[in-house]
Amino acid sequence: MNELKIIFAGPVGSGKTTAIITLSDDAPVSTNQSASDMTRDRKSETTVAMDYGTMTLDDSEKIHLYGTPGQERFDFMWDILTSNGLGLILLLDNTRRDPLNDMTFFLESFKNYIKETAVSIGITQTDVVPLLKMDKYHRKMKELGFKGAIFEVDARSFNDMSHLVQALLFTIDPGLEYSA
Amino acid sequence: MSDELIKISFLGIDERSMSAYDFFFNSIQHISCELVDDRSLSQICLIDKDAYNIREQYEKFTQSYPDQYIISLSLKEVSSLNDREFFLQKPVKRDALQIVLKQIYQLISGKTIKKIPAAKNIQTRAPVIDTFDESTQRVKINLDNNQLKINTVDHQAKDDRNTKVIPITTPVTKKQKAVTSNAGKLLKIVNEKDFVGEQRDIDINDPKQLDKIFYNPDRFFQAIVEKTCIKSKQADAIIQLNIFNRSFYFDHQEQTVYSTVGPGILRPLCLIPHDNNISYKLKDAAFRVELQEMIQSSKNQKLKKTLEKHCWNMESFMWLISLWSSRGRLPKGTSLTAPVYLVQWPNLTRLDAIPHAVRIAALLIEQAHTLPDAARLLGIEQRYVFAFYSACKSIGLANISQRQIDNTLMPEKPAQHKNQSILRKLLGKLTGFRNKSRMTSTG
Repeated sequence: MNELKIIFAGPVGSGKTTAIITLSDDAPVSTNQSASDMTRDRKSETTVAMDYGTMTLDDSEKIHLYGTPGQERFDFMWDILTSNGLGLILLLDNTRRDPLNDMTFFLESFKNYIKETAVSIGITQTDVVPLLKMDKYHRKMKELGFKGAIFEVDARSFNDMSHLVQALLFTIDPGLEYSA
Repeated sequence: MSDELIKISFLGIDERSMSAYDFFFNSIQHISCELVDDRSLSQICLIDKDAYNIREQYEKFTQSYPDQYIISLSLKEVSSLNDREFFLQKPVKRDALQIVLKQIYQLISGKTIKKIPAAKNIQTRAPVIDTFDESTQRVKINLDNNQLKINTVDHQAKDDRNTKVIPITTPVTKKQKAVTSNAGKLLKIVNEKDFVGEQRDIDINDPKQLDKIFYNPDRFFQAIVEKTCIKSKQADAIIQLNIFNRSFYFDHQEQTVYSTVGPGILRPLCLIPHDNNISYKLKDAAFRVELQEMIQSSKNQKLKKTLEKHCWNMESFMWLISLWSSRGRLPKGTSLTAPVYLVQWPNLTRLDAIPHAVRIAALLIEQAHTLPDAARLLGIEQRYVFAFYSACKSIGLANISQRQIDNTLMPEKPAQHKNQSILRKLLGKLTGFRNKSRMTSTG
């Protein structure tokens, strides 16, 4: 059986759980629990372990979607999670105090994994607060030495999330062809 | 060697973490792991020593099942360990966990696993365990110099307590030439012909054919739009553009364009060469309020609807106008022999979709290519690349490369991923072969 996975990372409230629900065939088991003090101001419920969903391709093949817990104290899971991964989808919450700092933290944290695979970045909550100019995200990414797509996304939109994953796939292999 | 089954239970680890470990255990070669709920049936117990109230549970477990092996995980070093206990400091490195599992497997089965799979992605962000500490009987793993050192504290293996050195080989990625000859399959994108036209590929060495792939934006609405955007930026004000008895409002500060006409009229407007019958009006800052009031006023419901319906993000508007104007062609003067590059990825989720846009962007971000080469390397018709370039150019994201190196590099087909077949299936699932447009309600 050929099973690969895509990792979803990002700070608390960036939309990882929603993104996985949006892409999954079956509703993933919710692991959200009451937020601890340090995250309560961002989100009333937060993911303390990880989110998990699947996209079934055919009888024998599945893509596993894993969301890392947004809280940094769970970063011990990240290395375990990334084995056999296709790449990283990083979601950044545009309403956070310093989304560029978040970007730096996560790109640095997953640096080795990204080097082996690829990264696509989705900026969420752009409808709540005027978007920090996309140029700034791109500039920061370049400055940190990474290449990858950065899109505005609504984690509830299949089309947006699809574009983000497509960008990841084509970054890994631009020679991929569309097929049924 | 046939796979042996090892039964593993958990203590202090939540279901989701178990799920991750389950996935990891299943990826280990030569050892089949089965997760069991009943701890009396397991041979190894994975214990999170940072879990709430774990101390009591741990003591109860070790008293009840003294023969079981334990893998302890903790952020901090643990001072006292059971004889059959292995310790891994968080963040847990998968190579370290794999080695420990194999070590325990050898102790249980008496069999030796000769081949250790190549380690991938050894993160060095967090401190890793160093050497074996005889006094604390702690398993020590050293990931320096591409080697793993491991030791156990099991009494049965005391004679073998010498540090074993297991080489880790760096995985070599086998790059294969991509075969992309069948990439012309069109995605089901509405109004595709309006965006990319129907122009067939041309022989770029035949001067007679070149006219077919160029257009002159200066003669069309596209140039007026670009000029008005610049005017709005320079004046830092709203510019009202009147053309063909229609009005457009360009607001650079808000990055918004309002129009009194919708796409049905706008598109033909892009195809008619203009006769300079246009006028501009500079609006002061107060007009922004007026415009909003105009939109929101109940007395102007018709206009409100019109403006709301015909309000674009400025970049999206330029992109759209460029696609309608170029229809798969290139602005006059674009070089076909100079490599082009992308400054950055276009914000494709907020721009009108054109077939193969993501592929083309991925290729040109990675390396500059001439436009015909990009089409050839991806195995797609030139018009898709031309349309994409024209649209990117209009919003300032594509340029001709001036770097000498880009001219000297031979264009190569992109490397093929080892799991291309499964990636292709995933792509098929993502792009319209499966109709899914649900909007979830959770945040």
